[in-house]
Amino acid sequence: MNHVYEMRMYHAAPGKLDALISRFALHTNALFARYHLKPIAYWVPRENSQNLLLYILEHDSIEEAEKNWADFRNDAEWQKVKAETDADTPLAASIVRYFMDKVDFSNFESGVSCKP
Amino acid sequence: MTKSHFLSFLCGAAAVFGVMTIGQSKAQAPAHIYELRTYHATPGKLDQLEARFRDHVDGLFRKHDLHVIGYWIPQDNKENVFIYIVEHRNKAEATKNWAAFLGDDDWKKLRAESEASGPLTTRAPESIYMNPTDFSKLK
Repeated sequence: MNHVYEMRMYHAAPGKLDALISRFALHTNALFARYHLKPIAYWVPRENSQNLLLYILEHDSIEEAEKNWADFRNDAEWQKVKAETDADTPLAASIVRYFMDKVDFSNFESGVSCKP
Repeated sequence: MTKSHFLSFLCGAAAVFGVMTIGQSKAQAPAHIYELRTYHATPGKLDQLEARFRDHVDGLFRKHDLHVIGYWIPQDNKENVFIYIVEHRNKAEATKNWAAFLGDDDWKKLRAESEASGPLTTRAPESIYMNPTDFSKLK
């Protein structure tokens, strides 16, 4: 099956990157699993003047992606967490997302790390 | 020692060994670092750039321990972007392996030949070194 991949880049509000990362660690990542949203990895740039958190999701199709995102956004637990953690100011000031196709010679296999 | 005490002891020992094992494995395998590289292809040359990676560069990367976890092309690609992510053991290894790749005669020859009628990219590639988060599946 040809998966589709989604790049997501979050620009955290000033001073809120740690809180954003914590929200993913404590809540969002688990809620993603509930809705079949599969992050292959989360990263933070080593030099991070833009306050970025990045991750890539693997989807079965764009239709599945949008359905799963809608289910996630409607989840009562997520809505509660978001309301509480964004009460002061939204932790993510802006989000850039785009869908990508994996190039056919890519040697990436889902979930497999190649540590020595 | 009664049976229940003995079982308690075993559980405690298992917990201690478990902690030691986790501690050791962390020490032996620190999280890798990742490099997001973004190329802007010259208009009309994205296919050639992709072919150069597929037919040649990917093999040269393997030769020099540059481990690519994936190559991707955005679906809505007005900017002619080609991206990939390299997994490195650490920054020193990344620097060493990139230097070896750039110094490889096969790469120099390939680059000269494939760019004889003009460069395949409009600017130098962007490179962002990244650390995986604690909860990232890939580390």
